[in-house]
Amino acid sequence: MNRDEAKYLLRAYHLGGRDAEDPQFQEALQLAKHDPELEAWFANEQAIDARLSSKLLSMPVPSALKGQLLAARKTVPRPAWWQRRAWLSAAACFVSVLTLAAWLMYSYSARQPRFGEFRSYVVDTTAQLDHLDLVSTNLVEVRQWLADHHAPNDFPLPPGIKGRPSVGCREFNWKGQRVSLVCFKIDNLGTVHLFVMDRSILRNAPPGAEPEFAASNKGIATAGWSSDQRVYVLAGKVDERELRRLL
Amino acid sequence: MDELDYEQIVALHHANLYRFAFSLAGNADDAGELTQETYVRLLTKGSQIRDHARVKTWLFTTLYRVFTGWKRHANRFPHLELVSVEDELPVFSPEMADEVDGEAVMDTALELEEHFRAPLVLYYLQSLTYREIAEVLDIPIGTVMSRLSRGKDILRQRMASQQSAQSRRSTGCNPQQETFTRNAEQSYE
Repeated sequence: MNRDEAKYLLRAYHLGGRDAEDPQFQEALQLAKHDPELEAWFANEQAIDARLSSKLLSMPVPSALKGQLLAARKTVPRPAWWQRRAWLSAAACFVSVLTLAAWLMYSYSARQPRFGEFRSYVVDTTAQLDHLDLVSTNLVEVRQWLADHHAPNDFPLPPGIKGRPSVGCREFNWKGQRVSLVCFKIDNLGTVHLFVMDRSILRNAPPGAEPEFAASNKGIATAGWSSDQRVYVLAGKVDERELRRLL
Repeated sequence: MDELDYEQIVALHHANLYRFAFSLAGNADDAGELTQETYVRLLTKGSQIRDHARVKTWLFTTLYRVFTGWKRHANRFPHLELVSVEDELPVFSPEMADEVDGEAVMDTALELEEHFRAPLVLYYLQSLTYREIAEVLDIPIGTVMSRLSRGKDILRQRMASQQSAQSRRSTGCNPQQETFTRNAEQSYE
């Protein structure tokens, strides 16, 4: 910064010292401290300005003005508390929030898939199943694989399936939810498929552990139930009676 | 806004608001009306001001906006005779500043173009820093500095010229020629 630049800045320096901490002036003030000519110029500048300021501040103000301004309190209509901008803003905000909440609740509910849709998905997937992501008879390995893929893995097995050898597993994504599929080999019945998913996205998941059975036109029967936060569907090319024996 | 607050705000700021208003309007009636309108707006909209430390800036900003609004819509304020800067003028000194009164300073300020006059008067009223002046007038900080620098030059030159002319009239003879050095390379905008 040179002397002219410092002078240019210092001409805006507040007369009452309110700019003392303003970084804009620090370099110029420092320069003035070490430059006698600049320091003398600044002192002269401030002396002139202080006098002009003092003269301007002594300019008389109409004596009646203050009284008129104070009297305005009585004559100027003040907005009613409910008309005040803060209240109006708050009221508008509240109504907006309520409306939005109602819309969100309605639209979320309307968009939430039904259990029947999930069951249909299970049937279609079972009918088209052509491979597994992991082929393993070791259920521990299967559960670990599902865990590694962030799919439900720590679920209990129906009594009729416990102890049966697994065939393998696969992981799906249905409407943004991870779905685990574990397949089991059942004597005389072939393979049955256990689908497990978080129930929270379903509008009408089965209320409890009592299974709800359904048959499909694809020859695949299903049994659906809920337990804890999960929904289960056991599917297979079997009939309802045979499914019941596995639950 | 409670009564005590309002009374305090009137007491603290009405005088400098009036002086600023006068520097804009050029006459006492309009200056009074500008000041009153500013306080009316404080009564009706004061609840908007969340931070009480901002009241002063709010008042000056409001007054300036009322002024520009009136000027835009009603051609209300008389055109002020502007005087150009002369080329050779005596240097204005602190001692010369002692010789003038407040009315003379204001009268000379009124000869300046408004875009120099407004920041200069705000500066001399000491109510606001250059940053606050920028906010009130809604102009960049650099522009405030530029206009203060140029405005001060013009004001001092005018005051020096008036005092020089007064001196010639009172003594009846030509004063010693004084040279005025201007930094030709100084840019103002």
